[in-house]
Amino acid sequence: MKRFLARRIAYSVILILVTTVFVFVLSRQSGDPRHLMVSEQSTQEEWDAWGRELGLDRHIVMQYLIWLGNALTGDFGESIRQRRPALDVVIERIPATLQLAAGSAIFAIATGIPLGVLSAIKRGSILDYIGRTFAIIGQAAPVFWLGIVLVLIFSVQLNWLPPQRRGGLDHYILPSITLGWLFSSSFLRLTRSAMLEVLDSEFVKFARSKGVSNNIVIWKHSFRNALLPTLTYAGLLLAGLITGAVITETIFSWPGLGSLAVSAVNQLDFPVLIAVVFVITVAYIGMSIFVDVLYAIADPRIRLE
Amino acid sequence: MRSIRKMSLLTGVAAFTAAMAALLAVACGTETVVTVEVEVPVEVPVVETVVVREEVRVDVPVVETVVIREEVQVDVPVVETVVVREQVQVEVPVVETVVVREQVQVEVPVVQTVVVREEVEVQVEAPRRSGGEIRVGTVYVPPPLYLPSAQPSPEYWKLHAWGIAETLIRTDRANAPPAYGTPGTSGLATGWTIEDDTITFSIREGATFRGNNLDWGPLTADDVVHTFTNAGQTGSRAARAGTFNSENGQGMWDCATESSRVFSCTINPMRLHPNTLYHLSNENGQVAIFSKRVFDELGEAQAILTPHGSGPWQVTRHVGNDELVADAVLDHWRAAPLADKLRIVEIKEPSQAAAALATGSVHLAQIPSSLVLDTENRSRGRRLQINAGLGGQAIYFGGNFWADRNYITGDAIEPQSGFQPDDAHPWIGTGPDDENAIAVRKALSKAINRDLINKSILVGLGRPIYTHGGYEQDTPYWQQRWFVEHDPDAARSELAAAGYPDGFTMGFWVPSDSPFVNPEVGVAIAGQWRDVGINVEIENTAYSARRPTLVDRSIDIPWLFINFAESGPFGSKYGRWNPGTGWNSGGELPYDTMKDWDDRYVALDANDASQQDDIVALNTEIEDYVQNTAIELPIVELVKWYVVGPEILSWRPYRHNENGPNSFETILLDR
Repeated sequence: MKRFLARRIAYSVILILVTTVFVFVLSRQSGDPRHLMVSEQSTQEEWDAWGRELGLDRHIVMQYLIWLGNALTGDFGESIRQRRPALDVVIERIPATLQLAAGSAIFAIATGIPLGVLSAIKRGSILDYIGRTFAIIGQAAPVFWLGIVLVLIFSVQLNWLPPQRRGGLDHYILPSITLGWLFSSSFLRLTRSAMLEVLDSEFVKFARSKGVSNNIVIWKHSFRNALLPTLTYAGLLLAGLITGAVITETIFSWPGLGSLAVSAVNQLDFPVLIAVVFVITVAYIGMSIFVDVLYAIADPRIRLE
Repeated sequence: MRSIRKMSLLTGVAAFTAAMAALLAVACGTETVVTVEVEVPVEVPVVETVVVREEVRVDVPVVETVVIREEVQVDVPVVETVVVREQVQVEVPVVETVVVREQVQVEVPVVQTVVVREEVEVQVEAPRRSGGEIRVGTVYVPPPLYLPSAQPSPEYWKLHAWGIAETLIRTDRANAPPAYGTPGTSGLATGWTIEDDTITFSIREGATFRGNNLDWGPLTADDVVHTFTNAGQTGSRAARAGTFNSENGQGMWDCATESSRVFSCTINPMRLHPNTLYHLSNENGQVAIFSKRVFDELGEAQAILTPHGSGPWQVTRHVGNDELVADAVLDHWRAAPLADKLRIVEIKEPSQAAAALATGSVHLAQIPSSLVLDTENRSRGRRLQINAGLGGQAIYFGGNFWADRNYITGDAIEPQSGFQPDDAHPWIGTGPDDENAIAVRKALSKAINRDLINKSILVGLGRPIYTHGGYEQDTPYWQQRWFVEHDPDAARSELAAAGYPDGFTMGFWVPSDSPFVNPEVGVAIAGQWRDVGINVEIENTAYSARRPTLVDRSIDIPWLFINFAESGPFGSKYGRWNPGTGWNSGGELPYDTMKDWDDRYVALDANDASQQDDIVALNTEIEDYVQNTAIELPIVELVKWYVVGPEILSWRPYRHNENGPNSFETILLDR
């Protein structure tokens, strides 16, 4: 297990480094941030001073190495726009994103898994069709459209829920559904197919032939066996919710990492952009390792391989 | 093994559930009657005349209670001359009630003569306060940056427009910049004078810096000098840094304090930009005044992040890209807010802003014209409030870089990279006299149906415009030769005559995120150009991403932006085509042309009535140049509208060319 973990962590470090190289280079391609500071009256001296201040007067490779050296000490540079440490700007946005991710995960699990089970055990029935329709809508509807339609119905027409921004629990409902519906659909389909497979297996037939009650067959024997792929997916879900919140956060004016990333791109604030990507990458990779470990514990064949 | 597997599974499920529960826990755990002292020199001879602001004539037998709107001078038999500032109730010991709104002449029977020369205390009824919280939706809440050198565009104007900080000069709805030598303003300066190469400002008393419930002391000339010096320092990111350094000689620099209430700066009277004072004002404000004490005590890095200002609102919470919350400063020297609290929240998505208005989540927001009617219909009691005349939409033909010398230095320059006068860029001319390119640009102008764009896109609230400098049909300076008739047939034939019978392919940049641009206008223009055979490819690149091509002069396509007609009939009209460094509008006029206009402006004094005809003549000459070369096509005046919820009874914003709501202190809520 130690070797397995060491290997996974080594891969992760390489992956993070490669990601930072990509983001660093791409962020520089989006333009020189000094162009956003220049007015009609700016002078060459000011331009050069900004270059020195931002480290833009050096070769990009050198800029990256300097950045990397600083990043290893937790210094991701200063936000060009906000004039304070980029990592601070990013860290203060993490709670909002995690809260939204948690709300979405709860919605996705609470709807996707039961509907998936129901769909499987009532295969071909009206319930099955309802469940599959729910899944198709979740997978087909663009997030921005879904968010706006939900707001139109539940905020503007019915006046039941607030249309945007962080606040009390009611503020979480619409963005959580918007972000979580796609993942709920995936849960539903995954659970349904796993359940169908398990329900058709010999040990389930054997259990039924022994006269075990239907509920026990479904929830004790079938569901627990069908849960393994769903569990794997659930681990990645949280990371996916964090990385996938860009559109939802923008629509709902949610002050999280996604909307911060959009602002950083628009404002050519590349220290913040790189810090956001770094944090998201680490979160994603961390969750992947966590899931791998869980999976390896659950299935010893994996670590042998 | 099976039990281990079960345990592992259960462990996994438990861990995940615990993680979710923890996150959920985090989620759940989150977060007048007023006594006015007025200086009143009063001389009441015999019968009386009350001269107030505008033309009203009221006959009153005897006088008693007078409710006056603005600055008023009242000569009354018993008491004498009263100078009052805002809405005032003056109690006079005789008979009746006169409500005066504007300039008024009142005839009163003769009684007696009293002369008062000292300060007079007048019982004044303060404007009614509503209390409550004002909630405003805006597309952008800038990060906390409370130092001008840290404020790039568009952060620089929001703090004073929102009433957190204040500018040196304050103008209200006037079109023109304040004239040099104006004796007083309602801003932090009470007046200024120019003598030789020195401009001297007097600073008012009574303004105080506040923020986060901390009192940072009274505003003095030291604070203003500190602010301007900071704005102009090398490396400053202030959008108008050049106004405060000597590099181009068009602004003022080397400011120094003479006393706690007076400071002066060096100017070059022969190069002083006609709009320099305008650039100090709230209407085109570039620099609000911040506290030197905050800077000295906290250091630069912390001062930048420390909310403070002398405005009518003091910030209690400021999170960039999220929200700004402020409390009313009830003893503010100029205008105590009528509500208790202000909350400005960022809502980027227009349909969400409309939803927020419809649900009452916000009381005031800007939304695109396409959503205005729907929002009005959907929203019970919501209304449009229009802040008119805030500049127009104009097309700039990027790539027409005709200058061969740097505007500032006069040094020869290489052709700019965007200068591509070839068959692939028919709108780019080799110079201002390239007839073929002019014909193409004029044909493109004739293809545009300005009236239709106004009616369809701006819901009829704007108006077609034809001039670069604002000398439109409702002004005495309008010339009929500037009118452009919509004539697509003529456009097609002129394009054919110019060698493009089948049209050509042309990019057209319509910034998707600029507060100055209505992208729907751009889409409409593109459609009308397509109707005359042009294959228009719209670029919706964000302004910030495309702006570098304006700075480095590599832009080579037309683009849509605001025109710059804001400076009134006697202001500068020579536009943004400077062949120098920094931002410009994608074209450069020949050095000699720009220099000539510049020099002639500097020699003229907008305050001297005898020279105003010369200024108009020069502006007309410039307008003719723009029209003849068609380097810029004015399209429609982009009226700025705000949708105001029924929660707001009244609101008096001033005209602001940066397209943002302002003057929240004047909002009276319905409570």
